[in-house]
Amino acid sequence: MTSDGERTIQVEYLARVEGEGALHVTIVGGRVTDVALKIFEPPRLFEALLRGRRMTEAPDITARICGICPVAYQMSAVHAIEDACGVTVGGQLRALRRLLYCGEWIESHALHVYMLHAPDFLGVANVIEIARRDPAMVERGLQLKRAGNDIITRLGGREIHPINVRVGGFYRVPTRAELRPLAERLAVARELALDTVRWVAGFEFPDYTREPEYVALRHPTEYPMCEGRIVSTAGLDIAAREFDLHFVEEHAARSNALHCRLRARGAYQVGPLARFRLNYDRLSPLAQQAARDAGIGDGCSNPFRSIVVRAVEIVYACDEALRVIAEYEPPEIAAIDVPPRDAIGFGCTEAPRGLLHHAYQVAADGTLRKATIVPPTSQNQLAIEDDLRAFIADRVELPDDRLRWQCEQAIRNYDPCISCATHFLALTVDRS
Amino acid sequence: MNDVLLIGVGHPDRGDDAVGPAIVRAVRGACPDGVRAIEAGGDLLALLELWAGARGVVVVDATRGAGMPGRIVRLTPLERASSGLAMPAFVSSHALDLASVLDLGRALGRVPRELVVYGVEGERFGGGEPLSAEVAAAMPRVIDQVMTELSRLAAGSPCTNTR
Repeated sequence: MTSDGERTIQVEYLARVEGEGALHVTIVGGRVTDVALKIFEPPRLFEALLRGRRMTEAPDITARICGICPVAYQMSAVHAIEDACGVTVGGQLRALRRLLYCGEWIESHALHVYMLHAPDFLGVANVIEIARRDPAMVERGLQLKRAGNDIITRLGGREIHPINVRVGGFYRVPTRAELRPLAERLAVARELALDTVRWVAGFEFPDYTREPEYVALRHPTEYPMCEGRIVSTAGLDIAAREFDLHFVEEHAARSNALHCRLRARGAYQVGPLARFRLNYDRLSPLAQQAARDAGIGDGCSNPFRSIVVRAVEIVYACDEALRVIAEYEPPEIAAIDVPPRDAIGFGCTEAPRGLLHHAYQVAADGTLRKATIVPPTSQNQLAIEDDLRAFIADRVELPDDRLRWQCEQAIRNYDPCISCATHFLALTVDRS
Repeated sequence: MNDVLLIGVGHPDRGDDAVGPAIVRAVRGACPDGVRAIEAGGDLLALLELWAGARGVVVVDATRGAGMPGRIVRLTPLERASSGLAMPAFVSSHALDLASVLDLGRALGRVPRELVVYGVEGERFGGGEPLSAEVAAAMPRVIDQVMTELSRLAAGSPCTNTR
């Protein structure tokens, strides 16, 4: 506390989030005057890297943006390029893409729930301390994560940066026999996921609610993964190709990641809470029941309860993966032909952390002229800052170290992936 | 699975972080029978399964803050591994670093008894950079020590804690 009543809370290095970021909060006279989430992970320049490459390379190049959610990048890339070329991939190839995405949701959410987020609610510093107290609990998380990794390894060829995804489908599709062992493991994983929901629903949560504008995909019949219209709790309802008309990316000096806002209304939030809010009726009966039993059947407005929503989404992903495997008939061809044409294509899919938008300008010879990638963490930056401003306002009396700890937890509610968000050259980096 | 494993941890295009993969590539063709040489990066949680059931394991990784560049540190799981292994700043916390994975593995009883970690102190970790001169110069010594270790483990001799 300085003589004029100004107080600065600085979290220099955010632990248990992906990538490097920091938070700067200024409090003057008991009032929060500034909240800045700084992302100093170096810029990635992927969009520039893609210019001049073959359109068929986009899924493999963009997969490298993230080691946690490479499937999301591959899925948004293939859908955007197929959209440009006027091709729709359906049937079992489409179902296999959904299965692959289920794998990523399971492994990413299990990692966040057990390894990164649960320590906050158990009052320990990290997952190692949980393992010392209750090794069986951590083993359950690892087993769940393994089930997701197994899907990706089986379908994607390897568990990190899968290599079997291509524009038009896959390089090779599995036989029914190859998917059978996955089904056995997923049936076990689904039970573990239900246990997980019960476990996290019993945590103590701060008494805190928020009503941001939630944005997610919505599909006529499915809980959204690869397709759907972009909808929001404020009535937005647009196609992926209308993204630029309604959303804008802006540079902010404090961050290497672009900030996204709705042109009409500003900050908005993507991710599990948004999906759950806008698509509860599309969850499987089992996942809906799990949500009701966990006390969030009527909705969830507490960002700290996002851990419960992630657990419910793990149940859904296991359930959905089992459905796809049960109905699977190997397609005759592993990929359909996608002839290039001079056009712009758009692809929005639901990454574990929320809406991931890709747009590509394809030349007639299949070269990429321009690429735009808008990851979920960029879209959530303003919402995170708004959230923290409101969260801190009721907690300014807390001592600095306690407030700092709670702010870190509030940021981890978003499972931010900072590596994904920094993809554009920043000329100024504010490190103060 | 009852092999002996050599695991080189690190990113092949991140300066001295590449020392683990570089060692694996250098010795792969010359390893004793029954030794599998593997490169590992990204999510090191996978190590807990990778080395499950292994007869012996040698891990090579870059270190930070453990002395002069090129310094070689030998650790066994009986010691607190994290004391000599600082996490390079760019390693994301989503993918647990080696020290954390060792701590977690110990808590879960999933660290092989015959496990030796070689840390090689790095000097630079920038994207696209080659190995520093200091680490490149240390490579022959690391290879010697790793090969001796692998021969001992492949022959079934117990681990000698020299430190």
